[in-house]
Amino acid sequence: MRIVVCIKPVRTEMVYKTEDRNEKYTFNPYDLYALEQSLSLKKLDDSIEIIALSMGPMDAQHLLVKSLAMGCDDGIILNDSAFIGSDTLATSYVLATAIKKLNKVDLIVCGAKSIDGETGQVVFGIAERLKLNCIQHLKKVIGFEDDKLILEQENGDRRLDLSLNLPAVIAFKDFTLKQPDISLLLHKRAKQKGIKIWNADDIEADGNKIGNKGSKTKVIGVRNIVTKRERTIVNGSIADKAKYLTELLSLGSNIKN
Amino acid sequence: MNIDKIAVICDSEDYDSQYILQLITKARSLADYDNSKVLVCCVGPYHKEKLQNLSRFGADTIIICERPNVTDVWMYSDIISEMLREHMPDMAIFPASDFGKEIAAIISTVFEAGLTADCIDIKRNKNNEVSFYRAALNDSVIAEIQCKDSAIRLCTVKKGIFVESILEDRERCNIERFPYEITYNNKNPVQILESKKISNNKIVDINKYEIVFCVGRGVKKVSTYKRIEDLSKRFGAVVAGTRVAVEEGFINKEYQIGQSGKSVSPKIYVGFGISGASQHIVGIINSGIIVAINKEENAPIFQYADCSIVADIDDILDEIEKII
Repeated sequence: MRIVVCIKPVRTEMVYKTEDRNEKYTFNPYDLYALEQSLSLKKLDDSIEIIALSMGPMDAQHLLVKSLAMGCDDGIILNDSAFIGSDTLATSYVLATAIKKLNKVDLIVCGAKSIDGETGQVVFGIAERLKLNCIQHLKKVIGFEDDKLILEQENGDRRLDLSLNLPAVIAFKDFTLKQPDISLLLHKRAKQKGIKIWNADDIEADGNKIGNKGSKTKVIGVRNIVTKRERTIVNGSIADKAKYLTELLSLGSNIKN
Repeated sequence: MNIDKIAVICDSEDYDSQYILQLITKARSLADYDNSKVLVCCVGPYHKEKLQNLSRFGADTIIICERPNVTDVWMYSDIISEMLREHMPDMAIFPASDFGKEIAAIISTVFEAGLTADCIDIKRNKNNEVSFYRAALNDSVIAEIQCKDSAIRLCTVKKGIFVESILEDRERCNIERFPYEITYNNKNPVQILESKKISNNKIVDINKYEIVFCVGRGVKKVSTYKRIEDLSKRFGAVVAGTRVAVEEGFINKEYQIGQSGKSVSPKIYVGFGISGASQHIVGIINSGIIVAINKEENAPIFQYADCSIVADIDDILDEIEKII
């Protein structure tokens, strides 16, 4: 079985705001969860091949080295100046094109969304481009039987055990903020092994479908959130402020907006 | 660019839910800008009164594919694709439900059309284009997004962003049945082995509360959280949180407010230790009175609050507990 896990590198300060970390990029926490779930399958059967796939800047390649150290068989970073500015449509094109190039992929694993963009659109774009079924809201991998994957799904107020026919695209709903514990030795081995760097030509991408050119949305500008509120600053001692708040809350439902 | 037709895509469950009526109302007001038409695309049982009701909120034409309970994403997106191909609207609005978002992302790929997720506003702007607004990354601002090189402009809109309103003197609109035959061959890829109800995972409606307490990054201790929870009971408030509070484990995901959570519009909103990232602010802008308590004088939330209280959360709680 051949699995591709899609990992978005996100700016470290988006995830660990209060901690001091020296790496510019970190795993999107949703994708890290998806990666760990995928690796749990490998523990059941070592013949399973897992490929970590990212589109991003070269500053993020250490994440793919980490993925190797965690147990992935291959790490690929899709890096090309022509990819810059890709919106969700162009991103799903780049990822799906790379997955096609990888050939004979049984399972594509994604996180529910990225912590920065928060659109959750890319996973469905990949599935549509590859004409594969897409199953979301997954909680964990249970195992596999023959060529079927057994998964736990949490959808609304129901918990389901599913048997999924492959090939398919799946998305996990949870995230993890706990950084993987990687020994120095494993990290060194992963570094020696090295990752692959693919550009637009390597995946034979259509130049009209990638980056700014291939994107169908553009950001015109930013504005402040419009507010028509009277900004009252509550002054005085802590006791005065507490009194103000308590009185306001006591009015409760009698307030007319 | 003239906009001749704006489509509203209904959800798989109810095509006349309050949510869909909100989207139709917004589509109507956008359409009035240059006398364009509102097309509502429905999939479900043919229910004449329900369908006619949609015209009271601004639909000009309703097309309905008469198929009950289509929960299969492939079929649903195939039906919507055919509807859009036949009627070719200039823009389409989808609900930002899980199902709506998936359908919108598929349609975006099929039509190679730009899609903006979780819009908090849509406007016709000066150059006569349509602008979509959503929270920008990691900043207290809203991004204005437009589509380019797209035959259809697509967006998803969260529940509760727009308010539904009934129009007077609406003529009855056209209701057309949309024939559909399955053209693809897709076996259900999933067998359900076991299905259990999750007892503690009930679907929560935080919008029924008139007072919402919201905790953010500034609430660091479990004890502080517990005190806020106790206070909420006293005033009949619900305790919700930002994404950070969910990640810290204080707040259940069902009670998350903001772009990736829910939108609320209570009479009183009190933010405890909320910094005010735009991803959170977009979820509270429709609140009555916004009270913010933060010890950081420069916290962005104070720009949006009616009442700003610069103080340490625990200090304020000490005093409140003395009063009540």
